[in-house]
Amino acid sequence: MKYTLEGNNARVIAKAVQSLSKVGKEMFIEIDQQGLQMRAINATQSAVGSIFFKRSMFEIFDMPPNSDFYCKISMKGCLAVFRNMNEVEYCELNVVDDQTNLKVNLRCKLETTKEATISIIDDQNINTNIDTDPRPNVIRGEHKLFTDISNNFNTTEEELTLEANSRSLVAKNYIEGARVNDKFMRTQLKLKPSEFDQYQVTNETIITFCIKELRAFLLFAECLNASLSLEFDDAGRPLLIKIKKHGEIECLLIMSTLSPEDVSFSDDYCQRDLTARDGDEPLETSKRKSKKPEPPPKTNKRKSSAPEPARSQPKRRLAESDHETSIETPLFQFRNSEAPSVQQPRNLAEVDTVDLIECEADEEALMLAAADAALEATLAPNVPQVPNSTEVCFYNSDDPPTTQMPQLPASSSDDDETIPQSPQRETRVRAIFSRCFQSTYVPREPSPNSQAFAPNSDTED
Amino acid sequence: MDNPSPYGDYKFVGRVDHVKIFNQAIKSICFNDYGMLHVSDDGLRITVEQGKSIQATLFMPPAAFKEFYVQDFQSFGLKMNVLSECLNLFGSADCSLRIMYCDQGSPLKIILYPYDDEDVSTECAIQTMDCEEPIDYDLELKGPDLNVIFVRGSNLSKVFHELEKSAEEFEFITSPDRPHFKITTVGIMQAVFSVEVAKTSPMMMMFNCKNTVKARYKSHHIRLTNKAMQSATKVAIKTNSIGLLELHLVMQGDGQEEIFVQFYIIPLLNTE
Amino acid sequence: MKFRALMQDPMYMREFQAIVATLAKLAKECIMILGERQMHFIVNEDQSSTSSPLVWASIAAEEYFPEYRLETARPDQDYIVLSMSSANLSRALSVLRGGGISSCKLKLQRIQFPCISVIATVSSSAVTEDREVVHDVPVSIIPASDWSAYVVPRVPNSQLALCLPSVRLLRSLIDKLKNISPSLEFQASYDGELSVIATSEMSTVTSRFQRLVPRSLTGSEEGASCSVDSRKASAFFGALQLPNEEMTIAIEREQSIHLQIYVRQDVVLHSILPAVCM
Repeated sequence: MKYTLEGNNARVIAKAVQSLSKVGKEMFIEIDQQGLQMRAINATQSAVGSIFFKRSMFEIFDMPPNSDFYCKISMKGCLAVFRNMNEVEYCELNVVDDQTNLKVNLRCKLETTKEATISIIDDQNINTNIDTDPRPNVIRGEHKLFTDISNNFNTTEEELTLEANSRSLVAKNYIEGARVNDKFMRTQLKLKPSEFDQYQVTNETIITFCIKELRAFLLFAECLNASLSLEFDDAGRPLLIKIKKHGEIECLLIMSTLSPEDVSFSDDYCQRDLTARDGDEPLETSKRKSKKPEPPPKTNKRKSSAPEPARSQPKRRLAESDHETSIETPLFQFRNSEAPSVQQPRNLAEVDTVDLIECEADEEALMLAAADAALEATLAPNVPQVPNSTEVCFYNSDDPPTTQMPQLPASSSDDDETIPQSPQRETRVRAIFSRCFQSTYVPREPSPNSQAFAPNSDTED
Repeated sequence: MDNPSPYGDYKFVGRVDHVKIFNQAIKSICFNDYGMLHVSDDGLRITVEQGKSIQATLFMPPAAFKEFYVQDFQSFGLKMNVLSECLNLFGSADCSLRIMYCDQGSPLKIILYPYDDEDVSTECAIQTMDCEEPIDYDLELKGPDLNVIFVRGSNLSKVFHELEKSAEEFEFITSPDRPHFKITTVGIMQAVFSVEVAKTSPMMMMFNCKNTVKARYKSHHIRLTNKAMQSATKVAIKTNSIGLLELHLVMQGDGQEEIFVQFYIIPLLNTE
Repeated sequence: MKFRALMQDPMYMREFQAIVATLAKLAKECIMILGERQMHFIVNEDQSSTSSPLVWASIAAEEYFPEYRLETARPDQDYIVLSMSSANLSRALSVLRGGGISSCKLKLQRIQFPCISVIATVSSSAVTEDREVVHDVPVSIIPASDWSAYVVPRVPNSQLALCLPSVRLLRSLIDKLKNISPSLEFQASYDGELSVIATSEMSTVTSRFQRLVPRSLTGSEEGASCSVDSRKASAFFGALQLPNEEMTIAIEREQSIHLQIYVRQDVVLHSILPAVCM
């Protein structure tokens, strides 16, 4: 199986790898008669990025008829081989050694040849049950516009909220009215529909999603010099981000959006001038300076000690997913406020290369979420019903999707024991919206009854 | 007859017009704490070693100096990072440089004069100490079985710079047959990377290999040559039958003066 | 309690942003003192940091703000004193660095907690209509009872000051010298020469800046010297983001070094480096 590209197209593939590397740690490659597709899924399974290259982009596309090929390889390995493409004149991809290795051969200037042999981990692929019906809201614009929007937000921001109505689009790093940490700086950017190439918002809505994967795709749009289109519906429903170029390249980023019931709103939220009483508040320097509450170390254990509810729920959801007749089944379930874990152990059993997040920011998020979990434990546990949800399913290409939980024969023994892993991922999902659940807001304002509200200051603006 | 020297008691006085290339050369061999400095009529030499596995020598002939005087010089040792920091005091600002050494045990004096501002100058007095003679690898390299390749510096620098950092070792092949020049990674999990250059490549200035030599080196050692490689105009790669690797680099300054940096790297023993 | 200010001149907006960016590089938190006609920022006011010096900026409101309105909490109070993250404020103002900002408003208000809203109106040529970018910088209000800890520092009684036309070379020098020695000795002479000396076991570095303009503040022609912490000095020079290159170095013998940058008339950035034992 041999696939070759000339230099410029090879450079585009390299850029696609770089973008997808920001989404997930593993590269899923799917080759069929139409072309080659690269996909990645993020750690929390809340975003799947796919970039498809039509076979016409290749000089040689040697695919046996009526067959297809799936493989999963390490993203790090891909990045290494496609890192520096400036001198590349010709690229050849080969599946060798009885489909256990992917060989990449780059012919470069000055009679230099770079070669990489990357092991194929297995033949897993991603299956997404997404309906292709058009969404009520479609916004299309130049990549530069979306990059401008994204640049107004700190690189460490995790979520982006878009308030879309027929008159304006407001991009924010918070949800209006939601309770936030008192060290949190709100940022918002107001745009007019005239800035976009296409602006169709028939269903007024506020959606919140991960900005990291959007930025990864923006990078690729920039390299293609293409526009992006965002297609979305209500909060809780998936957001589709599409990039198309020359009919040869098609990119799709599917992202789950936050459900409104998972946001906790602040009672004392309003915009006003300060009063003399505000000036009297004692300074709580030391308390306020420490943002991180002590994480109760028992959090993980607590979650893993409640496997019973966890196991029953996934079955129910999977059963629902088989009723494919319901058109509007969202792709991802957004689990973020139940105290016990509801991760599907079966997915994790199959994906045995899940990496636990290691970086600092995530640790902090974990600690914030842990504190939140501690708070949750004292409140009545609220298990939201999320109907019509399906999860991203992993399938071995040999096994057809079954109506039961698919079990990877090799690692089924550890099925239940993978739960220890899942709570941490659960925590990570919650942590994405941790600001909404901050239990450490400072309740220093006097009760609403005694406050002297000044008139809204905006009248003079 | 004892003619009083115009330099008084000084054993070495040198003046360099542009500190930049000298600074780069020093930085490129700063991989160990101490270096040995020796000046003779041939020029200035600074040698740095790490164990018995890698050695680098900076060589600056009298022609690279604006002014060069030496008398009765004896080698001494000094701290390389201190020397490098002193040469770098004005950052990227172009300076002229004066180096002076008086007597055994006295400090090495370095004075920098930035061109942007004639009202500014800085004088560094660097402690010197006794030192041991470095290993003489030259003796080992004499022999008929030598593969010699001359490569354009900027091209070879790119090749080396792109070598996968996570590799533990690199295997070098130099040969009259294909592959003529190939570097392969060893020790990366689930992947192998290699780069190969044909002997007919325009980057090869001369290709004279008598035998196939395959040898492995610690990736860390190979990467220690990267800094020098970045500023090199020409590189000579030499290896003998046991794989002792010599990299001889030519660095050229703004005023066309040439400084040479020479690396010797010991191969890893074949455990297969 | 009310505070409103408006900037419209692109140069002033960039300078204001540069001052705050400089402070953000020096400390995580900063104090903002709003007076009727003056605005001050202070970082490291308690001098508790071992590596970052006391720095403050005094800005005459009329220089930058064509509109500046202040209403204190009580009629007998003259100031509003706020504490905030300097990084947040700097990031909120970073949009002023690029061009195309037609105005920037600062507004003190309470949304869920007190904050300074920075509202920038972007009118780039590519877009037909203006865009608005808003950042709400959370602040803590410091009650009058605590104000004694947050006063604008007094300028020391230096004996001799020298004017350095460009800090560029000195900045690079101090950045390297901090690795050589924990303290730096500054020697100023009345004939306009400044020497900066770093001594260590392995080396001694003496740097000379000649033909500087001296100013004696006591009438005598004696020189003055003082040794200061090299890390603190390096932190100050390294943090500078201002377009100005000129700096005044004033020495109070064996007590302190006072550094001053006149961004413009009535907009001054100061730092005090206290003496350390050699």
